[in-house]
Amino acid sequence: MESMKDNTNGQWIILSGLVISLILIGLATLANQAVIAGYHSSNAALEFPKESIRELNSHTRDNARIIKDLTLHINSTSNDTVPFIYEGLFKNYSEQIEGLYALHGETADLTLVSVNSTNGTVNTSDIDMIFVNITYFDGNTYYSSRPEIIEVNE
Amino acid sequence: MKMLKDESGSSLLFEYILFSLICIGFFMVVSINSNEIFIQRPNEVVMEDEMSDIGNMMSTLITDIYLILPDNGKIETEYRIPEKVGKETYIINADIAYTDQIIEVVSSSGKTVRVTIGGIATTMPINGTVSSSSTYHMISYDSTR
Repeated sequence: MESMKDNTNGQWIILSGLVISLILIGLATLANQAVIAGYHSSNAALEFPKESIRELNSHTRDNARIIKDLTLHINSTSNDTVPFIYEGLFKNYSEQIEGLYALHGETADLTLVSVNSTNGTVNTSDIDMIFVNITYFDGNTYYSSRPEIIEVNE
Repeated sequence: MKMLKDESGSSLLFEYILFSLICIGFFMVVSINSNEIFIQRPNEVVMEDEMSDIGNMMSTLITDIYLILPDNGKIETEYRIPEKVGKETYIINADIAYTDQIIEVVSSSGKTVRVTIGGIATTMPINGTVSSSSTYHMISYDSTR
């Protein structure tokens, strides 16, 4: 113990240890700055509700076709006209979609504008074009398609 | 031959003074350049990175909007960008060159980073200037105009 206390050799090792630790502190600070910078800038592209809007659109297109089939099916055993049944079914669909989107904090609005047919006879299976107003808003992004023209005869 | 055989060194005091002078000189050189080495250069690199990041963000956003454009209707989208890159405010310019959309990020000291989206400008050209220090930033599209 006595000899260890008196042994004053190895000053350079101690000094170089100090220097290396200072260098490490400096490097850590620089690395820290580089990591923090540029961290928060590319958020907006992720926030943009591209998929929500695309889904809203494609669901509406799909369901417009399904509703047409259902309408013709119901019409064969009912006295109501085709546009009347279509309106009712579409109203159901849009209420459900609006509820689903409201759960995510998004406002979606689907309104049936008109049921059209190129040869003018709306009351049969001739209906081929549905006009729908689609509106979407999530606080940052507003989307509206007025009207979205959906072809339903495949 | 006398010099080679002479084994006595300089005195302890002289060596101490010499050594401290060398150390002080080295310290002065480092401290004069430290601003350049430790502040300016990392800041440059960080700015370059962040500006190209912002440019890429804008081009992704524009491509995303382009994917869901309505035939009859409009899209308005608000986006958030950092107020400063490095220590400077900046401006985003959207411009068109032939068929390409160019997004140019220019910092207040004049540093410029450009991002290009090829071929999109013929279908949906975007023009406009955004300053990072303003509160709201928006891209809007209207098919009726």
